[in-house]
Amino acid sequence: MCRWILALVVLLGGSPAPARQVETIRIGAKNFTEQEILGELVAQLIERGSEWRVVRRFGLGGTDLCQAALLAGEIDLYVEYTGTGLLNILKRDVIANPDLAYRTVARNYRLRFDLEWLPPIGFNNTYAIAVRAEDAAQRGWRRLSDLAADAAGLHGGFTSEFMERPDGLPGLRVAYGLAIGRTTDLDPGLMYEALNRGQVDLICAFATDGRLAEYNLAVLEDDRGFFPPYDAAPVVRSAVLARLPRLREVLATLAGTIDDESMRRMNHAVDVLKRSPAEVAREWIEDRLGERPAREEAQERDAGDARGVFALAIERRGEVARKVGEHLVLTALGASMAVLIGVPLGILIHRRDAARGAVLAFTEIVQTIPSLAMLAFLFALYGLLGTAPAVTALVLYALLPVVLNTFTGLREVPRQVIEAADGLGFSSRQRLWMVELPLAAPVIIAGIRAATVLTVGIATLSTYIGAGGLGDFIARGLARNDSRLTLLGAVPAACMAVLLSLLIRFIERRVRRG
Amino acid sequence: MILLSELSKSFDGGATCAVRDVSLDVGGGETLVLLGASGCGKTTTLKMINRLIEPSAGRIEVDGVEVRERDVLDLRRSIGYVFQDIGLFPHLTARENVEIVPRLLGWPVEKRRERSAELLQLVGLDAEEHGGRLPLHLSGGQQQRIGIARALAADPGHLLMDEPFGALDAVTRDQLQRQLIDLRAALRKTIVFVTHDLFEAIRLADRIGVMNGGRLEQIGTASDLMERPATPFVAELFDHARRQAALIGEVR
Ligand SMILES: Nc1ncnc2c1ncn2[C@@H]1O[C@H](COP(=O)(O)OP(=O)(O)OP(=O)(O)O)[C@@H](O)[C@H]1O
Ligand SMILES: [Mg+2]
Repeated sequence: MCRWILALVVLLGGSPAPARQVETIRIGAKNFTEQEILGELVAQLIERGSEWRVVRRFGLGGTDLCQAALLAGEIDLYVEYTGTGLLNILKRDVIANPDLAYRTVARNYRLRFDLEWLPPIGFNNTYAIAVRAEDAAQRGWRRLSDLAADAAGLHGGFTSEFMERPDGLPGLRVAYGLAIGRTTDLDPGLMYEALNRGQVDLICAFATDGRLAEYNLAVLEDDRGFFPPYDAAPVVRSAVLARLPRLREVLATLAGTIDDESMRRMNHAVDVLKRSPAEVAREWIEDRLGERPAREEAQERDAGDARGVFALAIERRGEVARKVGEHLVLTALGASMAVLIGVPLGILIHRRDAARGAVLAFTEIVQTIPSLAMLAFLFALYGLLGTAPAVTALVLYALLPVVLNTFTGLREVPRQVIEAADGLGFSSRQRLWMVELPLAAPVIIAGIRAATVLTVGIATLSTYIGAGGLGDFIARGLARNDSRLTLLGAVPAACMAVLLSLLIRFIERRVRRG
Repeated sequence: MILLSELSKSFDGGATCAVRDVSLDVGGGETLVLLGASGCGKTTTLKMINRLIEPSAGRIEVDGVEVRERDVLDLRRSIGYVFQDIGLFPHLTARENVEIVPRLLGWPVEKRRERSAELLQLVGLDAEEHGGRLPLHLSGGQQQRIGIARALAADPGHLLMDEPFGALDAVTRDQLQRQLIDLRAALRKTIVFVTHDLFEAIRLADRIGVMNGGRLEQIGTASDLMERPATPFVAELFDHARRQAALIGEVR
């Protein structure tokens, strides 16, 4: 009782003894392994070195989203790469000199965005052309310029991004006179495997990718210094640094301490050995601070590979349960708001012919918008990450089946029944509630069922704007090419869809029976 | 009391003329039967009386008040209507269908229950056996009776009945006609009853209005019409009936 009153007083702004507010730092990361490890490193360093509360907003779907989240104050910092800042955010040309590149982004970010680049972490995750080690040995390839003579007979596998970027294939062709015979667009998760199996002869690897270590691949030296520097460094909101100056000191541990090889090993530990980014980050910090004796790598590998999906599910059951909960909340919010908006809309277009075309066209067009584009757009609109834009997207997608079925259900109420209701003196409200809606209910509920199943599926994409849910597992699994993680998200999502559908079908049957 | 004066209704912007210039009056407690072939405008006339259809021209008074000056819901709730296509609410039981107008009027549950039991009995149905059934599980004749009970539920002073015994066999029809005659004697209602069956009209009517092509050909008691038909159409109507009756005589 006392506590309730206290809470109320605090809510009303008249806190008698204001509890000292704990500073919160929100850390972002894009949706691939290296970003998650770096995010964990930053997060754990802050947790160890300060009393501030850390919120992790990992798995954000792309550079633009991270930048927008920083500017909106939805996150306070994340690790970015100089090349990306230069090309994607500042829209500048390539700068080959790493120092100059760093200074350019740092200055421009400070002036234009009030964002600060902390000192580089050390490694340079630029593009690197990788080939099979035995090919390199046989044909005497060491440097990229060695490739030119053989290029016409080679088959390259590149990400779609690399195919188009000025610092990708188009530039490479000019800088080295490389005329590669054939190219194929490949998913980044599949490139390494394709090269390893001999389906392609060279790929555009990332210099720090763990899979370079897994397969027997050789990276060719960029002897003409073509690939621009992609030095990683934390980017922080200046306002946060001003408020918490000690943050600079806490993160100083990171400056210049992780080289390409170390980063590659950490990526390898997660991508290939299937260890968690948090654990890998913790070990690095303990090593760094001299808290932990070196561990046997071989032992880790065994432990990593032996775990199957079920073992993983059991081991991470707490997390799975939490994600299931988040997913249910997203689905319930999305579906119920779609019902609250969609049923009245369906009634409206049943009564007003004039509104019908516009409403149906709107709900149909919404269906054709790709989900990721929709999420990015809504994020821009709200300037917020998380539940609000995610649920809005769900509502928009779920609207069509609800509106359409409400309209159809009402239209199918027999004419003579409507006439009887009118003739006996029902008001239009009474006719709606006592006759039309009860008779249309089975069709409306079928629409709600379709909308709910749809929502469970689309909610898996909410991960890309940091709204959590089972999509977190799926996206991480896809990013790491780890099917166990993907299944950890996909199987519960499928079960949830089936169970919700059965539940609503049950309600539908009860309603039909009257 | 119901009064129609120079009532007309055209559809499709004047292309179809369903009712032309109909004037008639129905006195308190009187039963007027509108008689005519399919498509002659009987249903349209009934629907105009409770404003399901707005007239194109003319006046309608119920108990001396122009219907368009009354609150439409009040008007409709004060007139019992038996629809040509019955129109029972398929999601409600027979009893709930009968109780629907009292429910709209806010009667307490017990009073509604009592009333519906009484009415089901009146139309010859068993409250226990049939009351709890959905319309889907009642025969066509049973549905028509529920339709009649529903129209009577709030004890309206006026009753509009559109071919209430339409699709019934002769025996059931006869039985229901008899029930209606008894009922009318007991309740003293003003009734407009629509049929295309001359024998039914003769049996039930105080006066008969013969309609043809949207016009009222003649109105009067059955003997008036038979003895002094005003138009060839009315004369032919009775001749035709006589020939039919003679047919039965020949069989004997
Ligand atoms: N909504 C409408 N739109 C156009 N024409 C209509 C409409 N309603 C009725 N009509 C026409 O008006 C005329 C009279 O119809 P009405 O339903 O009153 O006939 P009825 O005498 O009740 O016939 P039945 O004995 O077959 O029920 C018919 O020719 C019909 O086609
Ligand atoms: Mg009719």
